[in-house]
Amino acid sequence: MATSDGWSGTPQVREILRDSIAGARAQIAATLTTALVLATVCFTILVTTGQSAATQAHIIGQIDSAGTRLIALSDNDGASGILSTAPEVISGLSDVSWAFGLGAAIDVTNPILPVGRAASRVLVGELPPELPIIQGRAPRPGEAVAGVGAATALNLGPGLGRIQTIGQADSDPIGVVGVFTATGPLAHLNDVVLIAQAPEDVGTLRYVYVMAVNVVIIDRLEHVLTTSTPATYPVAMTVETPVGAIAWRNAIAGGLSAASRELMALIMAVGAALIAITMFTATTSRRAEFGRRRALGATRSVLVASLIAQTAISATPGVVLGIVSGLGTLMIGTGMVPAWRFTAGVGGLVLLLALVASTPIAIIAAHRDPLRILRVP
Amino acid sequence: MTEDRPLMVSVRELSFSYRQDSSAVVEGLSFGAPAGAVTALTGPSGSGKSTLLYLLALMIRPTGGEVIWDGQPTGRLPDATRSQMRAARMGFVFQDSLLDPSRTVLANVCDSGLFAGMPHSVAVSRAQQLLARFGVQHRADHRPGEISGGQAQRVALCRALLTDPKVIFADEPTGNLDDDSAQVVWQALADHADCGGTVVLATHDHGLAARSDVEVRLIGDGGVEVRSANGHQ
Ligand SMILES: Nc1ncnc2c1ncn2[C@@H]1O[C@H](COP(=O)(O)OP(=O)(O)O)[C@@H](O)[C@H]1O
Ligand SMILES: [Mg+2]
Repeated sequence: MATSDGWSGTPQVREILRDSIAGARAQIAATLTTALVLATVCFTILVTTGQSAATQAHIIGQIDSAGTRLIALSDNDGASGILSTAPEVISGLSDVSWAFGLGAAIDVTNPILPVGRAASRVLVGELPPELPIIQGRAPRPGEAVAGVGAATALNLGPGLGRIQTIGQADSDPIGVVGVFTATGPLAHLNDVVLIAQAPEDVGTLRYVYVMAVNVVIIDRLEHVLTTSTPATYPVAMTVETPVGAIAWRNAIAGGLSAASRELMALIMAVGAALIAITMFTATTSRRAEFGRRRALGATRSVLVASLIAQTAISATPGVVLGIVSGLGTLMIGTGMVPAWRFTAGVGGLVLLLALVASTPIAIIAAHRDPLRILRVP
Repeated sequence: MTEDRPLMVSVRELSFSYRQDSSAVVEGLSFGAPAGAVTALTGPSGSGKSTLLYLLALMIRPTGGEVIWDGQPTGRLPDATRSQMRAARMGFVFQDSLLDPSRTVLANVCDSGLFAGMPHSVAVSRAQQLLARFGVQHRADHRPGEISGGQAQRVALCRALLTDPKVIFADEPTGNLDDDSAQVVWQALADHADCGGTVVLATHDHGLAARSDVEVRLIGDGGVEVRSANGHQ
């Protein structure tokens, strides 16, 4: 054989990976043990803290409903003079889902059966989804819709009917084309008849209701509305935010997070210890291999890289198994799964823990004297 | 005859002790292993043959003097470079084969190629050729635990030869072998030297020492006697 010096002494990354996969398969018992421990840690974290994370998200979802996001601008005595263009301007803000305005209250009656009466208000803007039509249709400008209470008070039948301002028998009656129902913070509108009008046909507004896109931006939106709602004397206007609801939401979310964070920290600590012990055992049991490979010319960094690769190869299926079984258990047990970010975070953290735990052991092993294992007793 | 051959690896005033307070295993030692020859390190058990091999193979650092490779002193080389030299230029046959019990014979042979930077496909085809040459190709898929000591040592030889290294170190390569296996191993080492390679072997087998081109006899207390012969037969 001719002697050659054609080799670099530096293994290719691809070959290290191939070797790590081969090593993981050759030491299948160690690989499976690592995978199982990591799967168990992932599973435990998910079914314990994952459940409270899911519950928490569920509760916040409920709190984050219409009631906590509704801002009411009011000008009870007309001193502020909110312009009728305000709902349109406010609806254009990116933090706003919808806005509508109401004029001053005027009592109306049913001219055919004038025994009952109800308050009416001019409506500027779209009827929001929170005021669903349950009979008839939504109003066009010049038409009215009655809240369920008002419809009863005015004796409006299935075919609906018309209304007229009390004390103005000569005024034109207005057609009522539908009935809506209101719940939650808008429930008081059940007793009101809303008369749709184009902004240009209306003077000033007494109320503007604004729905924020989410709770988080309420404070910011309140500030924007206070300073830039079109009105003659903006300072006279009051802006009501659901402060109580926000405080309640924050308290509950904060409390839940703190509780689950403590539990998670505990489980993580136990899991980390378990992972460290597993990695330590797996690595120390391979000392002979490290010595042999150092003698064959593996550099320390190649040894460390191949050990980390082999850890990742055995850890990844374990983490996946733990997550899949954990999510499955949560799904069957509670019907709720935590957010994907939480799940991915748990998986990533466990994987990172395994790698971080095995790295110092790999470095120590790589620095150990290769001769120790070459010694034949 | 060997005097005019270039020295592949040599030592100058080499000293080594395992611990500061323990006596030196080698002290003030100077000799060279020429290319194209088999150099035998002999001496009684405990005289430092294995230790000297590890020093030559850059696995341990001398406490004094120099190990010189191809005319270059190696004392200041960082560990990574020494490892790379081991992977790229040296083959090692350990006394007890030192195979990975969890991997197949074929994978064990390919191991040295990995660290040398050899592509896996090249390593596999070379390994298969070598296993066939030493009559153990039918054991390629077996684990080291399933083959005999003589077969294991042939496999270790295949691993050392895989990268076609400049220098082969062999530590008592025929120590526990039957005569047939010992002859196969010796012949492979002699062939490597005939093709221009350098072979350094540690042995207490007088027959093997007599057939070597150079014998470096460790006589205790760091002393050494060097004998040059006219070549191996
Ligand atoms: N790791 C070690 N630590 C301390 N002393 C050692 C070590 N290895 C070998 N020795 C000692 O060094 C001397 C030479 O050993 P060795 O090189 O194995 O000799 P040989 O191979 O000729 O039998 C012996 O006295 C042995 O006890
Ligand atoms: Mg020895």
